[in-house]
Amino acid sequence: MNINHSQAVLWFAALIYAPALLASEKDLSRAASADSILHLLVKKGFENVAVVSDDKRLMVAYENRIYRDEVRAIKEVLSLVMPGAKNSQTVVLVPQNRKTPLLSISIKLDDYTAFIDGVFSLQQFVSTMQVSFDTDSIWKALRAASRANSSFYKFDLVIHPQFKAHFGNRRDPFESQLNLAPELSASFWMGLRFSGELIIPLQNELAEEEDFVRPGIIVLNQTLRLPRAIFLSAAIGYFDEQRYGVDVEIRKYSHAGRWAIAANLGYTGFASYLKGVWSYTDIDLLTTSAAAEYRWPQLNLILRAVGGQFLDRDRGGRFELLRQFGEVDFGFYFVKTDAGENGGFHFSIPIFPAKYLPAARFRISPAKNFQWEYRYRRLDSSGRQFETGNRLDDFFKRLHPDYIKSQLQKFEDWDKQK
Amino acid sequence: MMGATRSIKFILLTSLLIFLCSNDRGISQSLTGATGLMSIPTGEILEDGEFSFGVNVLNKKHLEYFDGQQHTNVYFVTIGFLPFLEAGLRYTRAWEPGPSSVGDRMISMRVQMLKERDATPSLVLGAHDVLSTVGRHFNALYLVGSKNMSQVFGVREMVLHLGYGVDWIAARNHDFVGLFGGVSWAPHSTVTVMIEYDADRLNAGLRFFILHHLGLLVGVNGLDALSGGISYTFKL
Repeated sequence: MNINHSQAVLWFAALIYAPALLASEKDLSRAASADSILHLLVKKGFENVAVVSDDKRLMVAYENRIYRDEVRAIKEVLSLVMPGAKNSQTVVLVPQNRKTPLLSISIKLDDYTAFIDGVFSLQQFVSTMQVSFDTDSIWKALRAASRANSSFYKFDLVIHPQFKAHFGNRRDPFESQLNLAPELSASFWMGLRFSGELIIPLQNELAEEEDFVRPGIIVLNQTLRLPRAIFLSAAIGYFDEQRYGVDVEIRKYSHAGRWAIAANLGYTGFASYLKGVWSYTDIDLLTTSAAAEYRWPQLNLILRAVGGQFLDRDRGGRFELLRQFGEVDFGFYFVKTDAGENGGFHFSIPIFPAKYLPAARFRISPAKNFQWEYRYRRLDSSGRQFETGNRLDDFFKRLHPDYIKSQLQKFEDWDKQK
Repeated sequence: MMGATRSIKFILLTSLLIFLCSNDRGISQSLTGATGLMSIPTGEILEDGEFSFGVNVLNKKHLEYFDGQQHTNVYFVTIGFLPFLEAGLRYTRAWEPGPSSVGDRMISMRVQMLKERDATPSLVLGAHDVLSTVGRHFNALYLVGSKNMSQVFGVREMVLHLGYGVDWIAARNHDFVGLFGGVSWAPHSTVTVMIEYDADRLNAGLRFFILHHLGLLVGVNGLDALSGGISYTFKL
């Protein structure tokens, strides 16, 4: 075979550049699928979306404010991402809150394919997922990626129903109070949230001063994720239990999130608003607490022991048992401090609807759930704490590795699109 | 022709009622709010995540609460909090209590120590009204077992219950002190027939299940005092 000089040059060039050309074609294909996935997630209403891929992994960060149930959101994200992830071996999802990464959820494409093909049952597929509090390494790849559909500078007006009841009064055995509490909130940068709540009484048989429209929790909160699954939260503003001041909380998860330790410090004063007039005292009360928590994964049961100084300057402990039945929470608590002993139960039930309108510059929606607490001795002040509306454990109540895996198994409506 | 139409309508209506009324387990809340027969608790508990609430009316005739002067309402919520733990809260209030009465609140905790197996009964350790703000009017501390005897007797859903209670905790009144027990028989998934001895007297009752969740209880305490109630049970 006669090969002239120009043909030889072409053959040589082809041999040299072919792998590079093939690789760039693969890169282009990967980039196209990443763009397509990002577009799908944004179209669905997910926020702070970033999609990054390398040789093996497709990494997807997202924030859910569309679905009431975070596990439903994970399932929807998987349904959108997996069909377009054919160039990757593993897909890693990183759910965020206020653009702060919370967890990493790793799914091998082979396992997903086995599930879609019917080789794996739903239970087998879910058991192969790796859900972890460790986001440190994955966040390095996602951190710098540009976000689509930012959640910042969007105002949410959430309508909370509030119900209080007292039993056993001699005058009236059942006294109640029903309020509506619209809460306006917005986030402006990573981890920050402002929220202001107004309490509008609808019916009141309890304290007379609660007959009037009054402020609820008004707080500026900054939450930070530190390395090694440590979270820090600082709040300043007007809390419930008529306290104003500052509150700082730190929480560390370990042993796959089954154990957590936390500490809380509040420095507050009394403040009350009645008929247009604020009454207040100096900030003079230091409340402190340290907590240890264990999650029993098979039962979605949280056991929590808290010790410290509470609102009545009483020192002692509080023990809580909280059970999660899907989106319903039910728990008992027992308190023993030098102000007395008490106990009771609390529950939280989801409120219709399960899916909200996509967040816009301004959005109105009902609260995700209705919560109620019953104290056996209602006048007893032992073990009382104020709420800031930004407790760190709320971030992970429905985004916990064990909870996610137990609840994902209950969804039967998977779209097995190849 | 008219007779045939009526018969068809009767059959259709009866079938619909039977369809609507079935309850697979035949287990429901007693007059105390705890899982049991007419008055006595049994070795069964609510399933994990089951929640029940309701109201019962206690006839004053054999009632120690309020010195038996008033018929009394019992409002209760009960939950299968863990696979082995049933917890309940009940509020008891006389019909016309007068200005000095605040009613009585009672917490109950029941731990199922054994689940029923082929050869062994289910076994529950129960404690009622051990924490109280005013007085313990319905205190009970007991061990009770239940065993399904359907195969032995060759009938549908017949369960024997036997328990023993003590008065070790100081209280104004104690329930189920000594030997107590009873028999429940569900000839159909819609109805359970119950007869029991509550350590003081003999009681008998019927329980009906409607729409899978609604339970109606009617019976006679001491075989001469009509009591009953209604409950709604569902899975969380």
